[in-house]
Amino acid sequence: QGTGVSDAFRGFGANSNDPIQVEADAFEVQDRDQTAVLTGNVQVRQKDSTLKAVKVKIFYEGKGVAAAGSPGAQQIRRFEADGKVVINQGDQTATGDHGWFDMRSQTAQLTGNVVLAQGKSVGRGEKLDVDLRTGVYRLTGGRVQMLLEPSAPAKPKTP
Amino acid sequence: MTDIDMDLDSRMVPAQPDAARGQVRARHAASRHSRRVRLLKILLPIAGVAIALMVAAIVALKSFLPGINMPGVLFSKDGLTMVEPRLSGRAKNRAYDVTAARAYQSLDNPKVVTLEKIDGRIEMPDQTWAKIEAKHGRYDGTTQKLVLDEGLSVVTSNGYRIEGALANVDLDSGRMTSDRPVTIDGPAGRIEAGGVDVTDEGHAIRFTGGVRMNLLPVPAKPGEPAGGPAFRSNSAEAGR
Repeated sequence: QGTGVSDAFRGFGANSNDPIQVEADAFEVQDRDQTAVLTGNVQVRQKDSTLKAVKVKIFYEGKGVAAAGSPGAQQIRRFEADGKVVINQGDQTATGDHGWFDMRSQTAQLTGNVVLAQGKSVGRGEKLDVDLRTGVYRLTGGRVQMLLEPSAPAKPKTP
Repeated sequence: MTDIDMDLDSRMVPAQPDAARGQVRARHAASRHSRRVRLLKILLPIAGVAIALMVAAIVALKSFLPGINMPGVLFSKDGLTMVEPRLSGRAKNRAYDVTAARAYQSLDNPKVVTLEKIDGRIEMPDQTWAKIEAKHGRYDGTTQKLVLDEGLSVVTSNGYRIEGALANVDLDSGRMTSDRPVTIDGPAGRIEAGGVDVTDEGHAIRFTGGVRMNLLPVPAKPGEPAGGPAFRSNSAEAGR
């Protein structure tokens, strides 16, 4: 049994190798139930993407580092954002009351007064479902239902 | 409820600012609006916690204390100063070894010992260890509280370094708090916080007073379970 909070889990990122900056008023890690909560003006940035929310709760898994001595492999399984959730990347912004990201299924969802803005076009709905692998979104439940299709898979950016 | 698959039409009526007109009318044939939407795909922000857990290093700090008792400190008969006191032993399967350049008893309260140049090392059951240094500390035998309040730093075997201005440690409960800035640096990145509160033997750590973290991607070891992605850094990408 690891001795307490083990090494940082390596975090998650869509296989990108960009560092992630996180800011919040407070941050609490409960290793026994493998959760961590960021509260208050939570901001998370990775390259040109940002997530903002009042609170973000993270569920992680993985063995403790201390037990193995080597940095433990820990990964985020899922995280949930609550309160004025704003996700922005480039000219695309999605806002909603709640959101979750599930790493295993590589899906995400935003619910509650969802507004998806892209450039000048705006869609409103109650639920935005996202497939993180393909980038396909489905905005449903509002007056306007919109499916934003990716045209061609993004070429991997060479560093 | 069927979802109408409508592609966005770039000539679509621009969104009206006020909410009432927020409706987008996309009835006319939409030319294939092929803007690649990768909004969420790229954004997987919350690795933040990666660092937070870096606080493993804190485990070392909190394990430093429960179980250490000082009453055994002998004081030379001619004075109240003890030079290079050493204290080692086992507490809750942690081996510790603490030395100080000087320790002296306060006259008004013999149970209070002031320590200078503290140098401690803790060995955890799983062979991880932590080295703790502090320029100044104060131990109170009655309250079993130790305050390390100058030049406090902890280095751990898994490559983390904690620096703080102050640490209040309750030897009984093992709780460690600081209401002064603390920084943690290590392989997974860096955390800066205005204060920290470590309880439950290090299983619960709360950073307060504003937290900033910078998480570095860590290459996943081969054979990494597919599960949640750890960062994969491709070979080309060395540290920028």
